[in-house]
Amino acid sequence: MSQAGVLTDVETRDEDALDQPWNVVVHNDPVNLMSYVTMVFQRVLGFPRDKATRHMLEVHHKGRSLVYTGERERAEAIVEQLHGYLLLATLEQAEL
Amino acid sequence: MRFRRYSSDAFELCDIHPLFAELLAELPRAAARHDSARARLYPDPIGSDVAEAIGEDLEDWREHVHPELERLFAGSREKVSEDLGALGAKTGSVRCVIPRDNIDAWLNALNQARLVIVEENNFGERELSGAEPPDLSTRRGLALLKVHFYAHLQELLVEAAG
Repeated sequence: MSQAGVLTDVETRDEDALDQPWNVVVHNDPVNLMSYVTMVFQRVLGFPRDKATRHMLEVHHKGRSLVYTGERERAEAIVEQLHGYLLLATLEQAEL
Repeated sequence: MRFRRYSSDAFELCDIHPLFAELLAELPRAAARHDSARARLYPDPIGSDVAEAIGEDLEDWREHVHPELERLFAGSREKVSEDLGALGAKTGSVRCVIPRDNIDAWLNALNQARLVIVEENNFGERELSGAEPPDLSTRRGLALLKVHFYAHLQELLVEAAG
C-alpha cells in the first residue's frame, strides 16, 4: 500500500540480525565413512584428531553435531567446504 | 587386490581381480551421474522452510556455490580418469598407480559415486552396513558390491592420506 508523500519504502535487515552468530551443523548420513568424516573435520575445521573423532561420533550417534558458531561469512565458507567434501552440513541461526 | 605404498609417495593397486578392475573402470562414469542424486550432492545450506521463515534467498547460494562444487567434482573425476587410463595388464596383472597428489580427487570421486549409487538404488542403512552379503545375481546386488568396494578403497586412501 502506498502512502502519500513517500517515494521509497525499502525494508532493510536489522544490523542485529546480521551480527547474530550462526551455527554450522553436520548431519548424519549412512554413506560417509567414519574415518572420512573425521579426516574432513580435521582439515576443514582444524580440529585435533580426538576432537574430530568426538564430533564424528556425535554425528553418528545423535544424528548431528554443532561444529562451529560464529560470523555468518565464516560459517557459510565452512558449509561450502563441507559440501565440497560431500558432507551434509547446514547453517542455523544461533540462539542468543 | 593389493595396496602398495612407494617411497615416491605414490600408491599402487595391483593384482586386481577382473571384476574389481571393471568396477574401478566404471568409477568416473558412476560418479558423473549427478542427475539422480542432485539434491544430495548439492544440498541447500538452510532448509527451505527455515529459509522462508527468516527471509533467506537460496537462489544466491545455488547461483554461486553450486557451479564451484560442479567444477570441484568434475576436476576430481578427471584426475581419477587419467589415473585409470593406465589401468591395464603391464606385467600380467591389472594395476593402477595413484599419485599422492591425487588422493583427494580419488576420495572425492569415490564419495560422489557411492552417493549416486545409493540414491539410485535407495539403499538403506541395513544394506550399507554389510550385514548381509550382496546378491551378485541381481543388478541391485552388483550395485551394492560397488558401494562396498568403493568404501573399502576410500578407507585405504583415508589411512594413506593421514
